[in-house]
Amino acid sequence: MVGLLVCGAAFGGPGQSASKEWKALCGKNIPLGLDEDRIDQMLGQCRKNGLSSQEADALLRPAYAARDEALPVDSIFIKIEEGLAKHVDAAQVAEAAEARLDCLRKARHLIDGQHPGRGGEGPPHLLTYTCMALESGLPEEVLQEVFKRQGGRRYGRLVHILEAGETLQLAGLDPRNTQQIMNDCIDRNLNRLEILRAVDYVLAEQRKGRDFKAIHADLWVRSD
Amino acid sequence: MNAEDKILEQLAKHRTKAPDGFTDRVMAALPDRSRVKMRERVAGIWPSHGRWITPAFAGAAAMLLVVFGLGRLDRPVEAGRVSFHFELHAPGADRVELLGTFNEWKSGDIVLNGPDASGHWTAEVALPEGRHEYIFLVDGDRWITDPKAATHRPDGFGRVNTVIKVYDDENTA
Repeated sequence: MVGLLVCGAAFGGPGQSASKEWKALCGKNIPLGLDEDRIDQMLGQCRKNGLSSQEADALLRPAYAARDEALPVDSIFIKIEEGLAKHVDAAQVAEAAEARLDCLRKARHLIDGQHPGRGGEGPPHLLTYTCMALESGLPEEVLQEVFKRQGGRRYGRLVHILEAGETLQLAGLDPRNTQQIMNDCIDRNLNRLEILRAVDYVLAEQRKGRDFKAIHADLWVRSD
Repeated sequence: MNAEDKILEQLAKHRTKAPDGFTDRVMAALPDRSRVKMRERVAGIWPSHGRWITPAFAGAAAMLLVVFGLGRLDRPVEAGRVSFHFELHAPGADRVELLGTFNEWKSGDIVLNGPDASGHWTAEVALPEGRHEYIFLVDGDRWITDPKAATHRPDGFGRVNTVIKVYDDENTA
């Protein structure tokens, strides 16, 4: 009820061409569980970018799907917000939002594969960080191996290992080598700062043009 | 009897008792303080003949110290947030904005300060711990990837965002 009042205020104020469709769309987005100001802002951006309420509704479909599948809606919403802020063509924004939804689904599948039921409601960032690593191009097999790996790891640390994997992937390291560093971090139960140091060392040596085998051997000799 | 005793004797003879009702007549002749106006009372305690200048300036200086001194103190960073320094070298720019996942890509939300003498624009932003992406918007139409950052990532729209991981150094989890 409060949400509908907010929508009414946002789209029905004096000097604004109140539109039943926009108000209805705002009301439809309230159940997404996001801040109402944020929904207003997003719909305002859609209007600024020249979208009709129907087009905006279509753009938000991946967010509705995420809600229906208990995936983090915020991850989808932020991608749409980014596209609108950068004045990207609506079709391209929709494509990026769909791609993110797809990555979220894959991430949940990967996490659930090892720990059934944890994908949707486990540690808050695990699903999102897995999704980001996938979106950055880290192969599913690498992540599958990470989740399968035995060890006394904690989920907080797993998130940092995923961050490390994404960083190495974005730096152009071969995924097999990235896999090896991630596995090492799990096996050695490294904390965030130790993982960070290992990644920094690998990247610095890689920039010098050194061979990965030599870097890898040096890395653990230095810490052991 | 020495000279001192003589003087004391003379003084004792000069002590005369006040006439009856003298005290009452003096008190009745004094003005009634309860009827004195507030302005007259304040005037009584306010320094006169220019002597007010020194305390007035001292008070004003103290106020300035309090106002500007407090303003210069570093704003405390909210719990779970880490202050992060953003910087872009854009000497010819009129305006540099920062858009990212931390401000929901809102334009006009974070405007960098600058340029300084060397053409740098800067901003200190308290970020929640975790992974963030951002990009600079120069003069409202040029999207610039942070050239100083180590990790860049295609945004899926043909541009490149910068990725940062921000954590409190105390948090080593």
